[in-house]
Amino acid sequence: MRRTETVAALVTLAFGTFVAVQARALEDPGLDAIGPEAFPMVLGLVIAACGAVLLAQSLVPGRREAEGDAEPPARWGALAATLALLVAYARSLEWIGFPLATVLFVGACLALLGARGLARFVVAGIAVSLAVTVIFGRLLGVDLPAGRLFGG
Amino acid sequence: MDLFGAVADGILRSLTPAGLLAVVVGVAWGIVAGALPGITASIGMALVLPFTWGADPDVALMLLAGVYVGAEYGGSIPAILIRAPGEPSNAPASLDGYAMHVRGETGRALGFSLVPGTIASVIGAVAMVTLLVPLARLALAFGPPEFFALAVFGLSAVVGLSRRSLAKGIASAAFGLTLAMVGVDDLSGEDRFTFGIEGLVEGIQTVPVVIGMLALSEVFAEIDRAHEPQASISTKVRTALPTLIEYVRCLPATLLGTAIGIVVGVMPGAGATVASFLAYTESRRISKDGTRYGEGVPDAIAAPEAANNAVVPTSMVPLLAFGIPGSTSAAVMMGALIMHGVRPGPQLLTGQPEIVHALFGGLLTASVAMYLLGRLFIRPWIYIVNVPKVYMITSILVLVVVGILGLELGVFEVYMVLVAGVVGFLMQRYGYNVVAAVLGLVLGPLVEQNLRRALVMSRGSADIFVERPIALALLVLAAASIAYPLVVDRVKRRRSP
Amino acid sequence: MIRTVVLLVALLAPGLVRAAEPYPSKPIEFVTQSSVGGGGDVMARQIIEATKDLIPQPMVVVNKPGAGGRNLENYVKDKKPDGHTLVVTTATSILWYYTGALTYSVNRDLEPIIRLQVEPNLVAVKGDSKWKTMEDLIADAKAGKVTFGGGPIGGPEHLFFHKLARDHGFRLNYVAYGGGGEAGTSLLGGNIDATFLQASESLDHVRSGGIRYLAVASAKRVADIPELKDVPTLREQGVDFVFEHWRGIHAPAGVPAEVVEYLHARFKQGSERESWKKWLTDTAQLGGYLNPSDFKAFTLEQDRLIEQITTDAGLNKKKK
Repeated sequence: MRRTETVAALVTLAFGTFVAVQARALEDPGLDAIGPEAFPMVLGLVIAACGAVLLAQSLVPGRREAEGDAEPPARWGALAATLALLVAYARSLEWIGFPLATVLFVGACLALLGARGLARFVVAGIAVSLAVTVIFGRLLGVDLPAGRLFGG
Repeated sequence: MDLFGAVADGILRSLTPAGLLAVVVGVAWGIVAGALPGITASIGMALVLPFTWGADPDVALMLLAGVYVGAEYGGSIPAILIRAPGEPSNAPASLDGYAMHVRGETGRALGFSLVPGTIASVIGAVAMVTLLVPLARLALAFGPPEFFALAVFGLSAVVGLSRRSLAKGIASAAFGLTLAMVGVDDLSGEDRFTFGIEGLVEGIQTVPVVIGMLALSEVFAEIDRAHEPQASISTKVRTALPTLIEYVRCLPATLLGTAIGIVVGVMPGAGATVASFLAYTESRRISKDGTRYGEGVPDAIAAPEAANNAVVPTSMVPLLAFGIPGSTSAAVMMGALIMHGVRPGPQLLTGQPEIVHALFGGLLTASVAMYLLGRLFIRPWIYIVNVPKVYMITSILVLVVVGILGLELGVFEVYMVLVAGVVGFLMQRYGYNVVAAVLGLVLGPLVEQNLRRALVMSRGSADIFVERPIALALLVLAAASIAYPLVVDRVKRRRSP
Repeated sequence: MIRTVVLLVALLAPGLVRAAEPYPSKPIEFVTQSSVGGGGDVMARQIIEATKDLIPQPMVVVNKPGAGGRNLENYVKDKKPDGHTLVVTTATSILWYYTGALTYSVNRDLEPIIRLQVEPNLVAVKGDSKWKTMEDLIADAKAGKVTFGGGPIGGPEHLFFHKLARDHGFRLNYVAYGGGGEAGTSLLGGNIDATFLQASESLDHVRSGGIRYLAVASAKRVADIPELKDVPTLREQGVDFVFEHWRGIHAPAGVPAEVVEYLHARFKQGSERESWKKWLTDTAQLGGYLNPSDFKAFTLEQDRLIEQITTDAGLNKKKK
């Protein structure tokens, strides 16, 4: 898995460079000795340097394998779908409000993760949504989004 | 009044029917509030604040003290069960606690949080009342140069944390530090790394990143592990508690965590999270299991959980001695005192010492109540998580979202958790160190801002770090702790070809 | 099945059907930018306590601290101006509009209901320091021997010292803290030499000798608080700066006039009660009652003043 190590090193190098370049562009109003840009710039350079070292390690043959189970995730599809579902959930909170969005999310998530039976999705969704809305929203006064559709 | 009298007075005050009721109700609610995602200790305290109208100030204080004490333990419950720390200060315990739970030793993990936490809570309360004046002096001795040095010392632990790949460890810590730079810079008023995104103006909050990088990334990893059937661990194994000998074995780590909590607690602006991370990284150096931190060892739970419980009483020191709240929870306490017409500050100790005694008594009784209630509810918690995996994952995802909404951080922060979850998942996949990243995020403001403040004080000269003994000592310790593991590794490698 | 769904929708979306009812028809929220235990938060809780028997709906405090008031702004923005959402305003509500990222203006986007309290700000040094007057302090500051400190850049403390440095031609050494008590302990610990703070935060330390006041930033001396009556004003010492920490209640603009009247009358009644007055005295604060129209005139004047000071000091971000 040398190639993933090289990619990780390149990402680190690129991120560090990005931070350093962004930090350089910051304005210094001159209120203190080093200003707001110095520290982030050093951080950027440190990250970039680490990236360079990792790159060298990954390219030099014979070095001991770096740590970690550096193998690509097996189920990219399931992960991407879960993530998409979560984004949709967050997005729908603003529109249809917490209670309804949660019913839909729980149902969809169970389906995605391989639970069986439509009735179960509906029951679980309603149960979770109702429990959370009552406990957090009503009893604890948490500001759960009501959703724009319902005038929240 | 002499010290013994003060202690006795405090204990007697908390053992009145009203006092006892306030403490027990407070602790019970505190454990629940701490365990619920998004309800932090200070929010939990704020929620009961209105109920204290009409009560005596000392009863109100005992109620709040109970909530505060209970919440620090309560937060470790979801940290251990689902790797989602109830409070940021429980994040270190989620590493080894969760690992232990996955092995089927849930009861042990909860025990290693509860008992050291109780010990620390008692020692901390006694320290608060007996060492109030010296501790207050210590708080004043900590200026910007000392805070900077302390934070550098904390960061130096990264070297020890990342033995397998030093470059990745340092890069992870620097990444966390960079995240801490995002938002309006207090010292210049400039926006940094906000890219015109409104939600980033106030900076990246610790909670979404901690929950994302630890809890959500674990959910992703869980999904990635395909449809493995749930390992059938009998509940008998799960509910087994640590033995007395095991508790004794992690006593050194417990006491180290307690000491760190007591010292860090008195410093305004540091807080329980800094204390528990320092306890985690420092106890690693003295622990026999130091090299196995992260795999689920008792010391790695005991030390940080002792630290965050020891912070509770000593964070009251600046409030009692100077009338200055050192943390948000102390601020709630102060609000309660002011509501009841008691103004905390130097006059309180001479004018109304009974308030301090009552607070001490409340904290002490609350520690005992925390142990009893915690012990009683260890088994029920374990049964709750015995549901099928898909339902568990789905519920965790909903709770993560509710937790963020509960902190009144808004929907933007929900996206933040998602991003942190993906980043944390990928970092762990490719051997980067999420603990180092979270440590960087927690210590970031402490390092940078205090460096710059110190340089304002010294008109730009770095001599200030050498001239102040505490700062110098901490920096020397930091240098030593960076050099030590590297040298040891070198020597070991030379010996074993 | 359909009936269950209908029931569920009705249960989960209570905001869906609500006819016009007489005010107040639901709980009233007091939104404040201070966290629990902070100045605005405690004041809101006190006025709620003092008026809870006068207003038939529950009143709750909603804390939206952080981001220089921006969190509060975002929360209030989407609320209907029906008087069920109130905003606890302070002097910094106007200040952060000019020096921070706040986009709403107290005078443009909010409607005044009542001003409830005023708290003096003071210049403080350590009890055992050698400075006795502003003149001493300024002279040493010119020699680069004074380290000032306080809240973040753009806050009242920084604004004051920045203006002082400009007017008297010295280079400002200012240690900015995140806020709250850090500057106070820093002064007591001798890490900074002078700060600018509110009476309630510091009176106790003056009594115990830990800190000493050099000046009060009010128009005239504060006679009502014993410890302050001999503290000279900044103006007396040749420094032109007046900045008091007032607090009041506003509602989002567009709130019906009868709601303003309703709330004003009850809050006024509450602020005349003994419990409220006792709380003010206990915590070294002053009553500062103003009715809606006087409060409006006051905030307009404040706005003009702060705009001018921030522009003069080069800290006005709204002026591009």
